[in-house]
Amino acid sequence: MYEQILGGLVAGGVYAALAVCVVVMYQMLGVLSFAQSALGALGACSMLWFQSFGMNPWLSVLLGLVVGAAIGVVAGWIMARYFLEASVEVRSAATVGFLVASVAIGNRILNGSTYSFPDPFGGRTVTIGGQGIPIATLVEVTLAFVLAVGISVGLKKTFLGAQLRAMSERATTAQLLGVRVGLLTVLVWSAGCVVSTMALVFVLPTSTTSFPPLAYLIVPATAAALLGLLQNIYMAALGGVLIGIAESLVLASRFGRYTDAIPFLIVVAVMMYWRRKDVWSEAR
Amino acid sequence: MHAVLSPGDRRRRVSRRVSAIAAVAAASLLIAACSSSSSPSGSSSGSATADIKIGQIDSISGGYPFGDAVAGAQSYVAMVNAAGGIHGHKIVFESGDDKGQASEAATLARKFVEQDGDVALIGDSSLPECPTNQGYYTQNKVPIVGTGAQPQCFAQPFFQPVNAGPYIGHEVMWDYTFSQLKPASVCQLEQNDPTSIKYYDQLRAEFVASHPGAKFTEVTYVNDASKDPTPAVTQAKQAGCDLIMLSTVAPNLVAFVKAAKQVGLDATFMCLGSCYDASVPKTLGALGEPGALGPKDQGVFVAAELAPINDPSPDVQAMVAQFKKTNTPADFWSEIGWLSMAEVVNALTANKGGGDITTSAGVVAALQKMDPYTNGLAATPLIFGTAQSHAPNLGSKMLLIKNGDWTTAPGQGSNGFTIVKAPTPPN
Repeated sequence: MYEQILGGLVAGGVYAALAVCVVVMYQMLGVLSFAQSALGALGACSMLWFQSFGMNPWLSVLLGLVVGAAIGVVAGWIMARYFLEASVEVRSAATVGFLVASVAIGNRILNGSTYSFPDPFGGRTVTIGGQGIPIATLVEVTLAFVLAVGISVGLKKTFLGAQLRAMSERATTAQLLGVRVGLLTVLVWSAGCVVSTMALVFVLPTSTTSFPPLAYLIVPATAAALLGLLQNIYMAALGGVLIGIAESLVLASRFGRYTDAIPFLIVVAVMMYWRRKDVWSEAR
Repeated sequence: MHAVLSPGDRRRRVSRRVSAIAAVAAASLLIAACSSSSSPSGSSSGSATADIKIGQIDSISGGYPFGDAVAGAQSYVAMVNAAGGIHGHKIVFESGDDKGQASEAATLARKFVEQDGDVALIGDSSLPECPTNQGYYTQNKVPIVGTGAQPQCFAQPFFQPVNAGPYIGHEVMWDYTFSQLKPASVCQLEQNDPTSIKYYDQLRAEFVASHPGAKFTEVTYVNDASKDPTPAVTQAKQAGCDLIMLSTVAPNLVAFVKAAKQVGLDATFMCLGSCYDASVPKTLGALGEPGALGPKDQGVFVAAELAPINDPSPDVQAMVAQFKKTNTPADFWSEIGWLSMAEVVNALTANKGGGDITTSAGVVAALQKMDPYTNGLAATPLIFGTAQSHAPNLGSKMLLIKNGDWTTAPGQGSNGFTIVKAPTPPN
């Protein structure tokens, strides 16, 4: 069983990093970004181009993160320009447009052929109890929690954090008080895309190079974010790891063919818990 | 000041107006009818310069990028048109992406046939097309030559697959595994596709019953395209699998082999022809060579439903040369597009049906009366014919990565293909 648990960390690390991203963007910008993993995948795809010039893997990865940041700037500008005053539902729906566009572009880049993404860790593994686990996975899981801590501390202890919290509470009031809401929106989107690009960088050297599966990593990541009720970054990160492990354990069981249902079951369970105090006929 | 009209005058004026409108409407209808009957796409008179309009439906953005089938077909069309077309008729080719959705496949079929006047669909590579459009194609006698991606593609009177299909592909993998490789333990990682699981189970049971010594240690169903392969290879390692069979596409095969290396799984990998891509050996590098994963690793095999691009046969090399000219990627899907178009062009050139090949009826007649078409890409000759179902390609070529490229695996027939009997229909 421990082999399955270790095996689940590969996907779990990606879900954790993406889930942290989802929670931060929801809390700061009031948007549930369905395009987060797709935008990150686009940034990660740029590494192939840099690699084709013979650059070393670390440099390709760094430049890929820069491209991810640039993609975030574009997305953030669009959201700040056209959706700043919109409701959470409208802003979240708008990200579906980003998702569709990203998948269309990504399918043209990763066109069914096979690619070798730069691997900064050279495919190296550590063996625990006879089971190999990639160093990249261990770094990614650690990074997801470090990110959660760093963001929490940053939001509470820094001036930028105070501005971001003000923006998330009352954007219009903050703007009137001199907070540059538009600029901060672009900044958060850009940082979010850097994180999601980084999340995929660790897994792409060994994962499938078909674009849609990379884009739809947002589904389990969102389920993980819901485990933190879209508020608790630490729970979101932990939730991501647990979902990865759960998928691995279920695959090994006789319910293996229903592995894909796990995020859906989590969403249903969380929704039922969240609305547990609602009266059945209250809406009527 | 306007004169006041009597009721009678008013009635006569209205009557004249109505007559004028009716005359204009009748004239318009007459002109439209004459135009459509003289347009090349729907002409029954078949003027000498009429085009042959052909369409293609593919699942491109639905998670299975079959888009290179378009490029392969387009490359062949470019070659034919450059040589003057078929008996002077140029081919006009169009394609559409059904995104893996049944509704889109239905819409595209009707658009191509009814709106655009396409006389045939060639090189189609779509997951929902056969189940969705089976009734429409049969009722309207729409001829299709393309990829058999679902069981229904092998069970229609007007759809002829050029590939062996996943069922013959499975039979070939099983046959080669148990007769040539003989690993101690065989596992199958099957696609979690409810439309085909039952039939695969039936075929596997029949194979095991008729081949003493054939035994599967484990069969797992997984949507590998959407999940990280590490849990699946971890489970295969725990089950003690020495050979793992996959039904997936090339990027996932590479991911599985890399994941196997990471978890320490020592096994042979084998996959259906959909895993064939010229880039796989280079992407895997040393990991693709026999023994890379350990002593039990006999290599990375693919049951290629069509000959690989480095096959020395003249038909394959002619295709490769044309692909280079048109910058077409060389993979399973572009080969499908090429071969489908080649077979149909061959049939239309011979035109044993004697009809107008710029019309659907003429194309159907030509295909139904065609002689078997031999091409080095396929294991057996291809033929459309008049049968109620078609599965003319009865073999696959087992390929093995060796010295950084695909090679023909040893122990196969004289033409390098492994040919099997047509599988029994689903229960």
